[in-house]
Amino acid sequence: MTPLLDITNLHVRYQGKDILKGLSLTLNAGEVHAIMGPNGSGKSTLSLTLAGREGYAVTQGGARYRGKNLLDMEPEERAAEGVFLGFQHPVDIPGVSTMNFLKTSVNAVRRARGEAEHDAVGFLKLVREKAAALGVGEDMLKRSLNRDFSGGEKKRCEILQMALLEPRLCLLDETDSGLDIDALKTVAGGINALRAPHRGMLLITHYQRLLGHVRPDKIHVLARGRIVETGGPELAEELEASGYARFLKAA
Amino acid sequence: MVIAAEAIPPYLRHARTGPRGAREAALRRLHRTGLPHPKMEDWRYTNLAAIAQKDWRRAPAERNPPSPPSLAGDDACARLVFVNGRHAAAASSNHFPRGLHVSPLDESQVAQDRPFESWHDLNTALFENGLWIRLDAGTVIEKPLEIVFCSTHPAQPSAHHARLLLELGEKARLNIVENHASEPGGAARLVTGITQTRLAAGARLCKAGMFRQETADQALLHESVAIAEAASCDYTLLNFGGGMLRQSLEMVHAGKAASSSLRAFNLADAAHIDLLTLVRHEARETRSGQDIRALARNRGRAVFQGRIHVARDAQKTKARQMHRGLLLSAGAEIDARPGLEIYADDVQCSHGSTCGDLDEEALFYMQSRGIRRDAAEALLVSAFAADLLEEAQDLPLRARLCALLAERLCA
Ligand SMILES: Nc1ncnc2c1ncn2[C@@H]1O[C@H](COP(=O)(O)OP(=O)(O)OP(=O)(O)O)[C@@H](O)[C@H]1O
Ligand SMILES: [Mg+2]
Repeated sequence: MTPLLDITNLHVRYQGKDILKGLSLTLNAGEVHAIMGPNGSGKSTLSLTLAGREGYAVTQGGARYRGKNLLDMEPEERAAEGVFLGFQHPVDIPGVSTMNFLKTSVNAVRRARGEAEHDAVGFLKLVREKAAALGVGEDMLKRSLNRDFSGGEKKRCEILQMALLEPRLCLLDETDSGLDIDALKTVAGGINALRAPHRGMLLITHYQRLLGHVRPDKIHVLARGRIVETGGPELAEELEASGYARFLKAA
Repeated sequence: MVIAAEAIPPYLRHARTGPRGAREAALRRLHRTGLPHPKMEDWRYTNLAAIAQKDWRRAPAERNPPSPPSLAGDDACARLVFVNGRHAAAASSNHFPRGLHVSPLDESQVAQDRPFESWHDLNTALFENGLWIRLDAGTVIEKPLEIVFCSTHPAQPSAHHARLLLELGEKARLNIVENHASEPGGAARLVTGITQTRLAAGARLCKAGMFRQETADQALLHESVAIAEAASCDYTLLNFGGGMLRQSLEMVHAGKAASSSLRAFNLADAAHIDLLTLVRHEARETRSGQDIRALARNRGRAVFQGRIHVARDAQKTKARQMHRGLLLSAGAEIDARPGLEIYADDVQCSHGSTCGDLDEEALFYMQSRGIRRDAAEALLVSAFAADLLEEAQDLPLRARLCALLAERLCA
């Protein structure tokens, strides 16, 4: 079976600095993996590289998505092919209402996938339904995207977009940070609702708490630019207890 | 008055004035001072030399003026049309809502000891068929009054000059949509326009002005708004350029708690737009806000000069000015020159200016959501403008103006 995502020996340089130095990871459809690691270890670099942000130079290795070279594609092509990045820091776009943005985005992706665009009424209904489940209020849909949204509101809005875009590969970069206890449950519920045999997820997180709600199949530790350890859910507990010291010391 | 023919600058050659009065005084003064020149503080960016040298003819009076496009349609309470600077009664409404009076403007009403800028004298000396618009105290009119200025296609370089006096009585409220448009083609046009607005205590004016000129047009426009106690002026300007537009707006907060808010969008698409605002706070507890945006592309140039003046007695004043520029091509230019003169000590004044390209992070965010790069750019550009109008909830014909702006941006 072709893996959903196959990263081999990935080296990424950003702003003249080598950040990823030989990262390898395989994610199959139906699986959920978590990536944990110290601040600055390159987790966001990995997610942005996979999503196609300019300036992240791949100097060695590569990444294949469903057998295709992911790194060759434009960011919008990746989205159309089913790659979704939930940003650690979602960007605000003054002047574009959340609802308008959702419609533009979903219809762009549907067009690219050869599916019919949503009609206005049907789309409104769909968004309201999904938004309500994630605690995204009607007023947020009217406001400019992410503008003056609280940290938690931004993260809910990311998951709302994910639910509407129905991606195959979900890269969630610290979607749990900034969420209060109830919001974490709501967002975890939204993530769990999307777990499916044809879909895979990479959850970047610092906290065991999210992983209590969304049980991962594997946990990877990213340190010094590569995956230094892979284990089961119990690894999260060990990290919680003893930190990253032993990975940083190892040469 | 007789001026020796050879001494008359070309742009004044067609001037004919009566023997006395404001027009003659203006003409004589202008003859002495000449038009503004780039050595003057406020005229660094706009050079009128080409205008001063041209032999402008008086724009023809059109017997059958073209019917200019209406923005408001049936939503207007009344419509006033100016063709080539002159009020065209035949094309205008002849019935007005109760309390709204429209009458010819007499030259004695426009006398000025010292104009704000010397070109005002050109307008004072030469305007024809100006209008005086008055709204009685306590009158509230919801439907906007539409004022249309249109210029016809001239066979040779021609100039025209429009003049308005607008007065709102105490607690009167009026919405105005002003629309300037030119017929495309023809020789160069010089357009000057001056509006003097007076808002009595507690009055409220909400105005949207839209300027769509052609590349052959050179326009000099000025509006001065005097705001009495607790009166307010909400002003939205949409400038779509053309050849050259120099626009100045003076907001005088003359009475306690007078307030104003100004939103301006300058689209310098291969055009030269120079906007000057002078916001004066002369009384206590006055408020002003300015949100100015400029977009320059295709060798366009957008200039914003904004001065805020707070007099010594204007304690507890709040004045805010923000300028944002979006520079979309290498040959385009945006200049911003804010200025604060504050003589009171208990005030809150702020100003800021930013200028840049489209936000890469926002573009990437949109692309990562499946929106193509070019569509993402177009969306960001229209958002830059839409964001300005988002706050303007009282703007007359808001939806139509937003649509027009979006259409213009995508052109
Ligand atoms: N604009 C920048 N200029 C220079 N270095 C940068 C820049 N942005 C990130 N870096 C560096 O790249 C490295 C990896 O950053 P990255 O954001 O990928 O870390 P991370 O693992 O996501 O951290 P965190 O857990 O704090 O989110 C860090 O050392 C960081 O300092
Ligand atoms: Mg990060």
